[in-house]
Amino acid sequence: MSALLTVSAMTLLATGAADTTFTAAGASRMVVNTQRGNVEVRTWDRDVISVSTDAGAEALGVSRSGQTIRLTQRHDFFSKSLNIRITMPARLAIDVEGVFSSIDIAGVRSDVNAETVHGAVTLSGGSGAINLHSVQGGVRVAGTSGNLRLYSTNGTIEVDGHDGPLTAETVNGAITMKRIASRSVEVTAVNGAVHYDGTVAMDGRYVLRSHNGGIVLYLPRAVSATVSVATFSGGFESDFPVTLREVLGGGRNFQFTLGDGAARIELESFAGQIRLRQGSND
Amino acid sequence: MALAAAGDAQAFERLYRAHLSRVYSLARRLLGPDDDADEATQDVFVRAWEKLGSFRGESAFGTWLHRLAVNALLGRRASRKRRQRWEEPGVDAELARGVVERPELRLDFARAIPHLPDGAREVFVLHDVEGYKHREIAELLGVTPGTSKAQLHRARSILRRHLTR
Amino acid sequence: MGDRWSSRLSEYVDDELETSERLELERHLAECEPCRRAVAELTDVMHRARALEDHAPARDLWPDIHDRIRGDMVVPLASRRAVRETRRFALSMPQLAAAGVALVMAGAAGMWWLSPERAAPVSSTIDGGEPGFVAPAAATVGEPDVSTVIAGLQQVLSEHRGQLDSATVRVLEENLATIDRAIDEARAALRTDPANRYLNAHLAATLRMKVHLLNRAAMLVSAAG
Repeated sequence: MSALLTVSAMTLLATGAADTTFTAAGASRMVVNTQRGNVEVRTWDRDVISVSTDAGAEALGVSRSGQTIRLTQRHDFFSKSLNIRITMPARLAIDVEGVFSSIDIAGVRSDVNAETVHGAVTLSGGSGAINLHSVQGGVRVAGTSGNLRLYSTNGTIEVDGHDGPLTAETVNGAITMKRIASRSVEVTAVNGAVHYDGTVAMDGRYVLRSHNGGIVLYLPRAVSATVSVATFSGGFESDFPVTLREVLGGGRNFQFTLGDGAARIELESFAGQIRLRQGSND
Repeated sequence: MALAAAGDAQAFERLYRAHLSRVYSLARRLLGPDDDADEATQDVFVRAWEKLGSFRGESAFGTWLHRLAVNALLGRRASRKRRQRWEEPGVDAELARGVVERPELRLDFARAIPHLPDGAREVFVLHDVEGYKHREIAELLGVTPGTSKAQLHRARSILRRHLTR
Repeated sequence: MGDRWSSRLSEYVDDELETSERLELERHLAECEPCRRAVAELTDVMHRARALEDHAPARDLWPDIHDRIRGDMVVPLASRRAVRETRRFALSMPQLAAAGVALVMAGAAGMWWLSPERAAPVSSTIDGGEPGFVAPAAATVGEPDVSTVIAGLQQVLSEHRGQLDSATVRVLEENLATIDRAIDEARAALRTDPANRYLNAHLAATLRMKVHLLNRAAMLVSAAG
């Protein structure tokens, strides 16, 4: 455990100002821990970090350990709601953890980790390892690249524009993905529909699963994919001409080929309707 | 501290010994007379061990531990589901009588504290013994600052009566 | 003492009155001996409180604390008896969380708990005796199987749920119920078609989601505690 260095930000905070600015030189990551209150992160090209809260500077502690700058809501035992707004260099990775907090991050060009229990997570921009988690409130993502992992327990997951692997999971809520450029998509919902509208790469694997909800997949006319469909009490309909080639493992499971069958697509819904649509929904 | 965070029980024992009196005394004062301060103290340290990983060093360890202890000790009342009647004046009269009629409490200020009614005792300990402000106490206990002030006055009034005898 | 100042004397002692109120009270004190005495005694109580000394307990608590933090069991004193009676689930929260993570990762990597070479259905260890679900041995020696992890996590949660706020408990329970309904439906379907590869995989995936959710709940509990 590296020694903790307290920057002169502590002195700055002690003056009682609601806005605090301190240097980001040498830092590569920003961590925010809060209990109650929303967190908003924006970026700029200055190499400084600006923090403002609606409850006075004494509510936030700032510390620095190596390349990580950490903001912590003090007095979190006192259940005080604290809205925090941070503007930081786009190059920093950001890690926000809250409980009763909505998290809104935009403009980051590095890794993003955001977790909350009650509140939505909204992300615009981000590149690298992106992990977003909300228990209640949903997750919305736009314009990201890298490895995207999204978890929601009670809430929808929406992705509009992503380049790279994508994993998403929700219990109660739909998962909607559009403008996706990926070679690896794996998405599961228990009680919710799954919609996918994106590229299907030749060496790609796309797994869309739901228990109760329908699956809708938009594919370009000239797609090349082997498609496996499985359901127990649901149904299947397709804009594409489909010849059943093989019945796998009994029941209503079947597979068919489109084009040369290059990509692997697995569509599974226990009780919902599985639909294959031609063209894009845009 | 780093050793303790890394899971070294021996290092944690040193921290335990350094802070034991403070935590135990807080438990004795904050809890009611039929709650077990020994067990409560153990619970606080076990919880501190479990949460050691989240101690980020942004305050002194003693401060962090103290806040954890206050939270844990107040939580015991909630989980014991005792009903605190904030506004009932009759309770105080009975208590004041009870305190006066128990001679062994007359001279021992420290021993009288656990016998205060729950709300008054908690506010008194947090404010007068531990130095919290009413605003902070109000948020901790989920009441208004006005209630906190009223409870403090109630506690002091009860204790004052038996001090002077 | 029934005058209007008697309930506010503590605020005066703590210097919390507005200037105008304080001046008015001080004028009153000049004329009211009982109030002056009350102020003196309240101040005395306050000073006594500040001067209280800390004492250690009569007996050494460390052996019991050490017992509780090391090795297998990290449970509150009151429920130790209950846990001893069900030793099978005696995993500490960090261990359970780690096991849950291991299972989730294993599940994501592939169908870890399907052994395709088994032809006949084998009794499930999850709810005892239900045919149709093929449950192989754990991938490595000493790794707990799904049923132990789920049961252990559920027990930890029911013991500690008081530490979570009611809104969080409600969300977790509603969603656990949603997953449990899906698991029941998958099992019922398997009874009608036990060799169905999709249904076996679907049940496994849904169980994995349950572990994931329980794991998340356990982490929330340990963060809240």
